[in-house]
Amino acid sequence: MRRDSWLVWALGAVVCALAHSASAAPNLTLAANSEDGFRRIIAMAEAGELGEDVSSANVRIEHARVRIELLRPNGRPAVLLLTPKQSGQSPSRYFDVAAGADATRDDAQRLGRALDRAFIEDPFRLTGFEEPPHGEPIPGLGQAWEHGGWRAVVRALQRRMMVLAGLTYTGAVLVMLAVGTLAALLLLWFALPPDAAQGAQSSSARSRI
Amino acid sequence: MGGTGRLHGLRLVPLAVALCVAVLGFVALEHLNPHFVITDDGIRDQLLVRDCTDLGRCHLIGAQTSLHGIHQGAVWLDLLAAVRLLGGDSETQRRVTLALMTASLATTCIVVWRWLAASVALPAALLLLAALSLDRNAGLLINPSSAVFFDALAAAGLLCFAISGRRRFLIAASFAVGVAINVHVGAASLLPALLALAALVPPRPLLGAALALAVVLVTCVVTSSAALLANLQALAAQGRLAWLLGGGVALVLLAAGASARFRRCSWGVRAWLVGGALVAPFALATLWLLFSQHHFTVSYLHPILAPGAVMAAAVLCQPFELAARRWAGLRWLPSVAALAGFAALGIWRPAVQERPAMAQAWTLAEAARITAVAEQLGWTYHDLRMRIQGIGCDVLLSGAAVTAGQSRAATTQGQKQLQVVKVAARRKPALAEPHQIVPLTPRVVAVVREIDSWMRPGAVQACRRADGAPAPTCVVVDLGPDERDARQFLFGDRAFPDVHKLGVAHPYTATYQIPVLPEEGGRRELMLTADAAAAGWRIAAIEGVQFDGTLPAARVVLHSDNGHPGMIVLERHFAVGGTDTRTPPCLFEAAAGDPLAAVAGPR
Repeated sequence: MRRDSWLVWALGAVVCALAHSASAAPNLTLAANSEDGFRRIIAMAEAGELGEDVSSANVRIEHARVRIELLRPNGRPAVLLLTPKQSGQSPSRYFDVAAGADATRDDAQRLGRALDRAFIEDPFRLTGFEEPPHGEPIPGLGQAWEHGGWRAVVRALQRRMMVLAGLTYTGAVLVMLAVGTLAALLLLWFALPPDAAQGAQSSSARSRI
Repeated sequence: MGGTGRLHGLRLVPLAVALCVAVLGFVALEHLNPHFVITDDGIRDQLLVRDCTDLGRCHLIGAQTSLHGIHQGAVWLDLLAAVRLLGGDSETQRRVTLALMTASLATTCIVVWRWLAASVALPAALLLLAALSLDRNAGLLINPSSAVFFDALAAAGLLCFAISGRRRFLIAASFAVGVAINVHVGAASLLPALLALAALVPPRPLLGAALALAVVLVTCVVTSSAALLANLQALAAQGRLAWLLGGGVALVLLAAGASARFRRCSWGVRAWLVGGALVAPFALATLWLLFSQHHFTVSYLHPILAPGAVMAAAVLCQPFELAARRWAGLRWLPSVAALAGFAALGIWRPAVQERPAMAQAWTLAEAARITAVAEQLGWTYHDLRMRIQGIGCDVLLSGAAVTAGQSRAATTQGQKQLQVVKVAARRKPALAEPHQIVPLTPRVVAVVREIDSWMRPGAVQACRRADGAPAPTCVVVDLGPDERDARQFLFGDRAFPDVHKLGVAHPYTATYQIPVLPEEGGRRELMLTADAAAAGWRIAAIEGVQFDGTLPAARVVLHSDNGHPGMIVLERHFAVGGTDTRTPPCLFEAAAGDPLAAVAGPR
């Protein structure tokens, strides 16, 4: 086993790099249709479902972060911040709810329950899959290294794995698949077991199982 | 010389038998799967392929699976794209799929003949054919059908590797596993067997395991890099990646430890161990899906079809092998029976094409023909979403998506709707004007005609009310322009998206409220189509418009003295376990005495 250790280490490094790349926090953004859900939250606030003293709500969305202000006619608005759920203690199915200025734990709990009613499916989606985010080009590996070291290289590789391919690439993949499959098929159809290859197959009907 | 000649003869016999099996198997599969049945999954794949062939935007990831966060690879889309690029259509794609299934039969036959026992080869191939024929995926032109071929290649390669120890078989099997996983992700159950055998068989176990893993990884990265990354990310997010990697390392180390013992095993024991290694992970994964994920529809059996068929055939043939110690010819009895079975399946043409249900179903080729005629009449695909009438209108609409243009904008069709009814060619003179007849096959035509409809589908309301609930939850149809990514071909069916958000626990009642604007002094027969009525839909209420008959009904005659607008309410109760496609039922409007109403309406 010892003489193969270099190979095992090399492959292990590749697998670990892939696993590390995969375990990096995914880039999330709110889907366009999540607006309906936030409109429902505003309607709930106007109906008094987010607290008797709450008359309406302001919602500000920035990528995967949402700032909600619960407006009170007789006081300062309560600010709550929503981010994609990472913790198990969050009152909401899809969001982590953090109480900001003038917000209480009860406000966060009420908002969490309201979010579960307003969003029946995950409002977040992954960005970067198949399309470079914001249309920017993917940097080369050298450029990525200069910009941010090995982390940037991993990120550049990750993004290259996600992009859409062109017809030329697909054509090359098809040729590779065809050649590989044909080679495997020919190998299996024409190969003989060790004893038959030595001309010693005494009977084609002999059972080995 | 004589010995060499005999050896060449021995080489040719299994090849000749395998070719016979391939021909008869293809004919049998062709008979059993007469049409490409339209399914949403199949349509989605065809649209993704058009993104690649028509727009040059090829995906390196397939559709999302029913397991959270796990995606299919892109090789199935590549196969479909290859056929399209070479000028083929959906019929060609179907034949290629059947050819791949046939190749799995032939490969299994030839490998079993040469490497295990010649007398088991034909029964194994027949059992595999039976398994493929029973597989309901086969006629759907979706990825599990062709995954069988790569699964069979992988299983055969692993068997040859376990018996001979030759590295080329390991490379072939690893390549086949890499491709199979990216055709259908269910083939991932072959990975543990590959890793275990790669470490068990060769004298340098770690080298074998590393080689196998490297080939699989390279194949995945080249063909479906986005799917690989997405799946790894999903597993990492679910906290399963570390467990899987740890389990893989433990498996390889255990196999490496048992390597010397395995190499001392007899030929037959090795073959049975390979079969067990291929089937056991699938069985464990199935149990995990059942008990941990509550995933009760385990229908993707393709990874174990080939090894399962061979093991079953070996068991069935065992009594004959024992009897052959006294009368050698008895060994071949199962093979003779299997050959007769192949011949019978090849010759026998089941009557599936003649079933009434099939006569009213739509194939993709028919849908393409109707779409072309509709476009000549000025109808875009997006016009048709809620303005197509006839039996199976939702299936026809799905099929139309495959050949539809990229335009998202609905043209102004006013109050017109398009009626499409499939009838036997011999009935056409009585049913329609000659210009309304569209030939589909020598024996079947479609009547395609425009009518001035009384229905106004722009404001349909869909509701769901759970049994015992005080009030329903409702949404209103949105037939506005499709604002999804305009650089892709998209599938917009009759289930306007918000209906999917009406999540109500079974049992519940679904209703669709359709506004109607009758013609003053006119009469119009309105009916549910035969398939909708048979599914349990009924016209439950009519408001603001006079009608003849009693409700609920499947067919009513509307009439109006004043032309005031009204509403019809369609209703169906869904019991526990009832399947709701979330699309409005198909309707048909007709003037009194219209002969097409008898064809399209409820029996």
